[in-house]
Formats: sequence, structure tokens, C-alpha cells
Amino acid sequence: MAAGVMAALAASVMAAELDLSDFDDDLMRSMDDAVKELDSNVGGQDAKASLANAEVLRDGLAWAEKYFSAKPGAPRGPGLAREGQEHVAAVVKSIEAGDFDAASNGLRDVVRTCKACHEAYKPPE
Amino acid sequence: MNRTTSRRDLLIGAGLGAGSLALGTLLPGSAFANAASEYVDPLAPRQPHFPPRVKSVIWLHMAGAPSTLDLFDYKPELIKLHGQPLPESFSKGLKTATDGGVGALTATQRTWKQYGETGAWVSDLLPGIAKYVDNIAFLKGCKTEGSTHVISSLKLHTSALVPGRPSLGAWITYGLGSGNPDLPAFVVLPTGKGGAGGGNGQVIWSSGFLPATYQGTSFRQGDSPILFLDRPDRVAQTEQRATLDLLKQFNEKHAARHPGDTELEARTRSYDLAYRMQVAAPEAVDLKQETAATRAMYGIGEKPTDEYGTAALRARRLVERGVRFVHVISGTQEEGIQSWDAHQEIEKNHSVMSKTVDKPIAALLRDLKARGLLDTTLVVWTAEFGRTPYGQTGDGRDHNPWGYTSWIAGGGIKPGSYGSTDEIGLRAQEGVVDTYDLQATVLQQLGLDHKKLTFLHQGRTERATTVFGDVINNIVA
Repeated sequence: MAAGVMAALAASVMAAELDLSDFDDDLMRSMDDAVKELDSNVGGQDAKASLANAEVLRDGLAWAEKYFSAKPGAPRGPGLAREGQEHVAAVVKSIEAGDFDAASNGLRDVVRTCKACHEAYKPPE
Repeated sequence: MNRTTSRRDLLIGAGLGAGSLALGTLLPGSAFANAASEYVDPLAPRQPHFPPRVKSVIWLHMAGAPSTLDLFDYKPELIKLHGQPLPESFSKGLKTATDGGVGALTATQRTWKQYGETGAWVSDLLPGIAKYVDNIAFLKGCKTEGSTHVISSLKLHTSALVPGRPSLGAWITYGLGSGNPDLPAFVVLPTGKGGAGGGNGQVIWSSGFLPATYQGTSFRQGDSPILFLDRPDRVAQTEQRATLDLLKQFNEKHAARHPGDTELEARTRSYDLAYRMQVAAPEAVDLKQETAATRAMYGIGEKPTDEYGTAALRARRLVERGVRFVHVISGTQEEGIQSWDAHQEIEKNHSVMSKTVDKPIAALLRDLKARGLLDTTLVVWTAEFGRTPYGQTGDGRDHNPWGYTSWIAGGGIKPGSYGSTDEIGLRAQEGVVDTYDLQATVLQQLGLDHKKLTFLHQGRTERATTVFGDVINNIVA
């Protein structure tokens, strides 16, 4: 439990010291829209629209990986962004296979990764 | 009267008509009036996605947000640190001044004990609930967003920070239909002087963008919870029926010209429901049919517990009769106190509020269990957020959306404690449960897959928990 406390505190300390003012907020908003659209389009089994949404997420996460790789003090950032891209790739694979249930489950993994990154690096709530 | 199609009509027709027709063949909860097919009863019972563990939910909303640090979340470290400033190491990354200043850390003044085989900690404020901990799964790592009652209440009930989305009870009614056509499927039982969820009102039991028929029906407080149930003395039953039939004809004629107008459909249905309720509802809410011992067990007849006990006993009677979702909102008639919102005088506030709800909730659990209803009912105890480990204005605690306790009891739930807050109870640390997860779990126990319960709104497939939500598998038996 103490180790958990320390890890959480360490992440918070890093977040507080980080300057993320050059982060592309518009891109993050586009990704937020894309993830909601993707959820909707997967629910509606619209492969074409789903793949277009996934592409927005993939591009955004690739940008985030580069951004965090060049940003000192955000050691978890690149890994989380890569993890997100892997989950998006899995979603794409499921959509292409016509397995929308698997795509919907995969999308939860994408969202969990988004939340993990936000909890580590989003400015104070 | 000729009327041209407006942009609004067109959008409603396209969104609710064609959309519902397509969805209606695929998903539970998609049947309601639409432009292209005959009327389908939107409240007809529907098959869930998978076998349900429960039929109904009693949602005990502790409006105003209790300090779970003084009820369930025992923190010896906080007692040691009493009087010291909040260490920066705990508050880093949090915008702590939510509704007031950040005072010194404040230890609980309660006495604590572990209860039952699960060894759950409960303070002396809740001796009644403490007896039933072996039926309860405590979620001790709850977190949410927002720091005001309205915003966080909206998130708790509708998964959004602004009004407009359907509440959980509405989604459940949409997904499963009604369990009793003679009673509303979704009932709200407000208590206290505020009477409407800490001032948050109807938006927390709204149907949002779902058809209006799925919204919660709020019962009045007191002995006559439903107005105008009795037929006027000089109107015969046949006369009343004939009047309603004529009104129905007019409404149907009007509805035919405005297909997809769910407000109109809901109104027509509500007339019929009201007629049927004249027979069913008085019996459902009449507590005189209970034994004196049962009424006493709920604290009915005693000043502190009379009103909340009445609501709790009505909740049991309603789920017994197939009502899907009963939303009981806590409040009190005590002078100077409206809810659990204790920015000042927390000892006084929580003593009053605990006394108000403890005996009735304990009785509810005992009663449901004795009747075998706890196997088919979920009882959820939760609030819009918790309260801070630091003090405010001397003897109160501020809002805490970062870490608090909720609990669930009932069908298919594994008792015990799941998750935790940090050492001072400020932030959820392990087994973190967001409100989306709580909703996803409730839906699952009812046999509904939160990923598949959808509604087409403005071209987007919407879900109760938005893009979020994970079932809390650790507490599901």
C-alpha cells in the first residue's frame, strides 16, 4: 500500500512540475470527439466511419508519443501513447474482420489508456 | 388543420423514427412509437442481453454527500495527523479549494469497530447498517468529477456534467421495459425539506434524449404520495373510462399528424397509466397494510426516521410489485439541516442524517432478506461525492470528488471491501471505481450489457455510460 502511495505521489509531483503548455489541445479535443464517434460507429457497425475515427486516434497517439518522447519529466507518456496505438490497431483489426463486439471491447482498452495518461499528466482537476 | 413539416419534426422523425425501427429489431429497449410502424408499447417487458441476477434496483442517494471518513473509511493515519496542515505530498495535482478553504487535517471523532465475518469498519453513527455488513460490498476507492453538488449529481446519475442525458433509471426502463404495467417503472421518492436531491431536481431522474415515457415518476412525501388518485365522488367509473377513451381518440388523431412526438405519446400513456394506477398504486403505497412490527422496524412513527422509513418501506413494496428502479433521496425535516452537506457542524449534521437513514436502511436490508427479495434486488448506497479529510470553517468538511465510499448489496454481489483511498482518505488509490463503473455494474446485474444498450440520438449511438465504464468484476459473485 505504501508503495502505491509513493507511486501515485511521484506521478502527481511530476505532473505538477511539468510544463505541458505547448501540448496541442485542439488535437486532444479532436481525439475526444473521435473516440465518441468511434464508440457510436462501432455500435452501429459502420466499418468505414469506424476506420476513419480510428485513423484520427492513431495519428493523435503517434503525435503524443513523439511529444512525450521529447519532453523531460514525462517518462510514462511515450509508453502510454504506444500502448494506445496498439489498442487502436487491435480495434482496427477487429473492425476489418467484421467483429464489432471485439472492436467494442478493444475500444474500452483504448479509453482506459487515455484515462491512465490523463491521470498522470492532465493538469490539476 | 394543415401543418407543414418543420425542421424539428423532420429531425425527430428521422432520428427517432427510422432509427428506432432499425434498432428495434436488434436491441433491447428500442421499442417505442415511430413514424413507420404501428405503435409498440415502449414499456413492454423486454429480454435482457444475458440472464439477469436481479430484477430491480433501490438506489439510496445520500444527497449532499456524507463524509464516508466518518462512516465507513477508518483512517488511523488521519487521527495521528489531526491538526496538521494537509501535506503537499497528498494534495499535489488536485485543485483542493473546491467550495471553501483548506483547513487542517481533521480526525474523525467517531468510535469505530469491525463487524461481521467480512470485518468491515463502520463507525458508531451507523449501528443498524453495521449489522448487515456481511451482505454488503463496500467500494472504498470511489472517485468522480466536479466539485459542486449539481454537476457531480448529474454525473452520478446521467454520466454527464451538464443536463440533457438520461438517468440510469431511465436507461434501465428503456432496456427492460416495465415489470408491472399498472405502476411506473421508475419511481423517485424524495425526502426532507429540500425534497429534490439536494436542490438538483428533476434533471437527475430525467429521461434526457430517451423518449419521455422513461423518465422517473416522483412521488410526493407524506401519506398521499400520488395526487388525485381517487376518482371524484360524482364521476362513475364508466363515465371516467368513457372520458378517457374520448381523450385518447383525440390524442391519437393528433399523434397521427405528428409521428415521433414522444412527449404526446408519453402524455397519452400517462392517462392510461393513471387510470390503472387508481387501482394498483394506493395498494402499493399504503403502509397500513404492513404490520405494526414492520412499520416500527423501519422507524415509522418516530420523529427522526418517520419520513425516510416511510420511503424505504415504500421502496420495498414497489420492488415487490415489479418496479424496476426506485430512487430514494435522503433528506430530513430537522430544523437547519437539509442534507448531508456539512460545511459546518459536521458532528451535528451527521448525527442527524445518520439517525434519519440508519434504522430504515437496516430495516430495508433485513426485510428484503427475510422475504427473499435481496436475491432479486440491488441496493445501492451512494452520493455525488465524499468529503475531505481536512477541515473547513473549523468544524466542517469540504467536497471530495477524489476518494470516497459507496456500497452495493443484493443479488449476485460478493460481500467484502474492495479498493481503498490513500492513508488520509483524500484520494482513491486502489480498486478505483468511477461512477461509470458503478452504472455498468448495476446494468450488468440487471442483465444489460452497458456496451450494447444503445440509443440513436442526433446520428450518434449513445450509451448509458458514454465511452467509459468497466464492470466491477471483483464484487460480482
